[in-house]
Amino acid sequence: MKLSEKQQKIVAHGEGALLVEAGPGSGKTRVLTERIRRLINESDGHFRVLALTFTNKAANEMKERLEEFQEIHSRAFIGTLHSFCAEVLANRGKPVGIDGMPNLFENFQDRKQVLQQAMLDDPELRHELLGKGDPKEQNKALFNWLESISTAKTDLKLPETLDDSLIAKIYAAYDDGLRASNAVDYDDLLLFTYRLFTERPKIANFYRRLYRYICVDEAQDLNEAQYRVIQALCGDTFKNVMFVGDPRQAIFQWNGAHPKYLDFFARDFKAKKIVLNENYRSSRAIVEAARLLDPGYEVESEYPIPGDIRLLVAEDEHDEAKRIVEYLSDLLDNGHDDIEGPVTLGGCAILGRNRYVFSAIEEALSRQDWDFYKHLSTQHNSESDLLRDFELCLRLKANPRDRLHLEVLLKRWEMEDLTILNTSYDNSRELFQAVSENIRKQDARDVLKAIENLGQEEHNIKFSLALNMLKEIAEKIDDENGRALILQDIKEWSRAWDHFLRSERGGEHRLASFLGHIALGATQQPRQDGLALLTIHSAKGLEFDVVVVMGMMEGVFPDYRAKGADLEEEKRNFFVAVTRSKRLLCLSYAKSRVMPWGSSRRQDPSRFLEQIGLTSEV
Amino acid sequence: MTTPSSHSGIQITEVRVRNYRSLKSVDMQLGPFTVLIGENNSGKTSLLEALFAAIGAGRRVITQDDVFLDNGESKVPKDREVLIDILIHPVNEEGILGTFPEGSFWVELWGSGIAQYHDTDNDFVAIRTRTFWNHGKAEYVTERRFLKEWPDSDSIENAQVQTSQVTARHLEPMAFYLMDAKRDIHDELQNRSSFWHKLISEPGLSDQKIGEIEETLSKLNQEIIDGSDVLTHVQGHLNDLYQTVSANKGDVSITPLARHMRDLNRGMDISFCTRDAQTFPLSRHGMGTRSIAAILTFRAYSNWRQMNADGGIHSFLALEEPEAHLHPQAQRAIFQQIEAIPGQRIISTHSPYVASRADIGNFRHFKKNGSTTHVTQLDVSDLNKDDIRKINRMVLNTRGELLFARALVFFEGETEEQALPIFAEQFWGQSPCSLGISFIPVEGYKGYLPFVRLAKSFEIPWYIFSDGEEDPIRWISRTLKKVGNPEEPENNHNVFIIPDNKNFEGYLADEKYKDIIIETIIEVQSVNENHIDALKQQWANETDKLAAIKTELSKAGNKTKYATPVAAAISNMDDIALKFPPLVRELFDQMAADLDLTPTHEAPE
Repeated sequence: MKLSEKQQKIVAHGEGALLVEAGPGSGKTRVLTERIRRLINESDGHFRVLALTFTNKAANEMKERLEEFQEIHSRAFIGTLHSFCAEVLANRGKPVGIDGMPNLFENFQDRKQVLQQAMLDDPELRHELLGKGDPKEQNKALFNWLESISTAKTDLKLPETLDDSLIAKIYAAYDDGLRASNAVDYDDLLLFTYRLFTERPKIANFYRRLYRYICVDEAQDLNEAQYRVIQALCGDTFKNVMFVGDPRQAIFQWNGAHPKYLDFFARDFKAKKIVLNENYRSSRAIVEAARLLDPGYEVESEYPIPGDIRLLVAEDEHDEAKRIVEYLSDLLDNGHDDIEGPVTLGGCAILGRNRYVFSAIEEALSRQDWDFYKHLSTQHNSESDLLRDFELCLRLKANPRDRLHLEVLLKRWEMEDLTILNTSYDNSRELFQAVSENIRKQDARDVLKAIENLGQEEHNIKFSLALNMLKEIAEKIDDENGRALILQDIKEWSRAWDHFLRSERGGEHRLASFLGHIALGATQQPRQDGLALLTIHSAKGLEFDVVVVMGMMEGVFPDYRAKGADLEEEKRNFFVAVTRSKRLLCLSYAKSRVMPWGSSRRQDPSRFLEQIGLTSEV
Repeated sequence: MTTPSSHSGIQITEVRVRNYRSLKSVDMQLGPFTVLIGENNSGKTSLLEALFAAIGAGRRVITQDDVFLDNGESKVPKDREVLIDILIHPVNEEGILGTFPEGSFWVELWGSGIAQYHDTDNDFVAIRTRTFWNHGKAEYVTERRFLKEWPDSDSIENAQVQTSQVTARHLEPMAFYLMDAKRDIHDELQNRSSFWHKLISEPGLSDQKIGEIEETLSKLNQEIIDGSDVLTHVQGHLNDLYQTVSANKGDVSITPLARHMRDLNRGMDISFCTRDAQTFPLSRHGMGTRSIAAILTFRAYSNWRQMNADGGIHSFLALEEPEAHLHPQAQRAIFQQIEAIPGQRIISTHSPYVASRADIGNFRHFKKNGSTTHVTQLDVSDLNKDDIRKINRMVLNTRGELLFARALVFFEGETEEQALPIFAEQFWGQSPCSLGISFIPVEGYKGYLPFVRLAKSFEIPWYIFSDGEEDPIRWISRTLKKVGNPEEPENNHNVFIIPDNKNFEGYLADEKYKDIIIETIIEVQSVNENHIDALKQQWANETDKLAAIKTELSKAGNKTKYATPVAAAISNMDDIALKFPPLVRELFDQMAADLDLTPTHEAPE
């Protein structure tokens, strides 16, 4: 399809700051990609392009679209801001104390344990923690403190600059705990990069010389730290920055993000603004629904296809699941006038406000024997004990100073030997040697053997060899379920490894890089086969012919906790959900559902249904 | 002959080699033009080949045979690694820059392979080539990486490497070409991968032009066949091919000349004729001409590349012994030809003629101690421009011998310059030149420092033979202190000071030599027999003969007049004890001992 005049203007944009407000379906990804293609092909001189995406999925999709450039790596960095920061720190992090690829503690559980241990080690903080009461209360407190630390880091605050002296102390203790394991957390990636760029302006200057053009996608979901990192990177004079975003789709404010940074950008960079308000994605029905939700949403030209919106009202969640399956079956069997060719499972998605609404539909889909995938979180988790142990050992091999995971491993292997924990090991070989001398479980021995199979070459680990070894072990297991679990995990790891091999240039196969790759979520694929079950937050940036939004009940969607401004965000959430659809939209709710505590409760239909003109009286 | 003005934007400023052949641990600075000197087998070729193994065009593999083997070792320890580190800086016409400019080709090429110094945050690029024993593969493996830091020289093994690897793409634009001493234009013309072929494979003719030429070639072929009975006859017989090979139709033809442009390239040749001589293809000229032609071909190639490269080319040429096969006159000329090659150049030479054209700061001196090579360069940090000019002039005056000498003797002035070589020739029975000993006047007692520094830098044994007045002694002390020697001249075995506050002329005006010097003076001054008698009478009447001798020898304009005949006369005396003034004998005895030379004259009892 030809680019519209406005799209062309963006693609042709050269020097200077540009803010693109791009509504749903306005061809944002295409414009971004085309602009990068044009810059690389047509701009004179020598430079690279920095393209920052919100998700790895988006980055991978953009890379796929640019695959005609064999050496795309050498002309552009396409990835999330976090991966960019990780790379900057890996190459230049020494002044802020980071040597090589940072070891990321991305799991909440890991971070919680770091904090817990740090607090127990300090008399005052120990008192503070134990004073919270039973373990459940302590957990809650730990959660809140971690939130406070994260907020402080996102505001680019160091412990000494906090007003609350207790939080400051907890924050400092937590950071010390991370450093003792030679690790950083997600927020640190931004904080450290910000410090690096501001404390050593010549390093920021280097990256400005390297990247003549910077593009930032989904800019409405930037938070303070992210915006400041970009600002620090650009310094006072660099203006070749393009922000693309849509304040109507800002759905991460609960996470510190805010669309105000679009305005800040326009002000700080004196950016020119172009509004892309065509919608090439959605049928008329979808656009009208979106407009009802947000009267300010203007669409210039409209797609001629009418489309359809349907409401399914069910008795309970099982009935809801049944009706959704029937709805989709009908489409799969008979197709739809508004959709060219047959309807496929891959063209359909079921969205939910949270991941708990899916349990009934998952059961129903399994009975139906349909392919489906869940992309509910960005974390990569092993399910089987064998692979969990293996993963812990991988972390220790990459970072022998990782006390946290060493402790976890020793606990799992029932060998809580303090001498090992309290010895500092310079290399993983010595560490594993010490561990293997005291080992009691056969499983543990197998895992260590697999680790040995990785070889001693730091730059070229033999990951497949190690997985094969685990596979052999799995195949000897009698218990069918246990075996299946392990094989499924192995499959997942080998997929991740495969992705890493493809994306890593120059034949560099370093374990730390691989783990970083996974931790940053880079192995997420743009698309998988089958029907998608997605939370709205993870559906961001995707589109489907048919979208079913289920669980349209008050309390679920909008979330029962949302008040005031949060309610506005809930509405934008729904806006995003609706506009994921290209043709058909189906909304469903159940009149009653079983609450987490076991009793059934009557449900009211979501207020959003009425807002888009659907009455519950069907 | 054009020299592209555009600068490549980079310079390789240092190379560090560890455990490569005799280069156990060598750090060497590189300028735009670097000249390697030193004895045969001192490691010059190894250094060039190390550079080639690291970043050469068509790099060769580093094998076990290339790993340094120490004295007494029968095989290489498995943990010994070969490291070749290259340091690159951004530069422009003015010199080294702090940062690569915005829009630099090299920034795009190397990306975050470019590192920044931890203290200044200035840009640099360091590329490490590392060869090590891989236990898994049971063989030596070579890999290349960017370094994050340029480490201290004594602990380069610990340098942090970048996560991204160096690939051929990163190296190709600054590929290093090595033309060894055997280079020959004949090989160039034959070898499909040579510069020659790289250059002419795309002659840049339009398709139409090629069509026209090929048509002409076709016609010429036909004319040759038609005019030749033999070829027509052969062609007729070859047409029988169709009876044995089942082909429908066709036409067998002999093509005396290549019919296609692309084939024509293969036979391209260079012809060369000197005035009044017949034109010969180059391959039939002598080795010298062929060698120069090869160098000029490279120059053409690298000029062409640079002109067509959009800034992305750093031409780096190493030339081994450019003087090979050349007449001294031509050796002097070749230097300018090399200077006109764009980019960075490095040559190794044994030719004083070639060396004498280069600037002293560009020299790197190679010397082998036991099994390991040491490389030194002149420390110019406390020399001023005048000092350097003085050295350059002296290098030129001695036709480069200063650099290649086995020993250097420094002194103040003209008398010594003429007299000492004559004594030396008498002493060793052969000319000091053939012994590799150079006598260097430093033009006044203040002139010692640059020369002593040079000799020390290049590890050439050196001696001072100085007048004994107060001022020279004070300056010599100062010089000795500056170069790190004991301050007192008497504590230096290689410093000889004329005693009793005397200068050289005064020293010779000694009772022992009174008669023979007067005789020589008379000989020089006299115009005829009568004059001799008159002069003799005059000298006989002189009351203080020694003072008169000293005055006469030291008179302005007389030094050069008397120095040679006086020295010849003294050294030809029959009395062995008198043939060499004592301090001269001391100097020569010391040199003989240091350099392992045997004098023809035994010391007197």
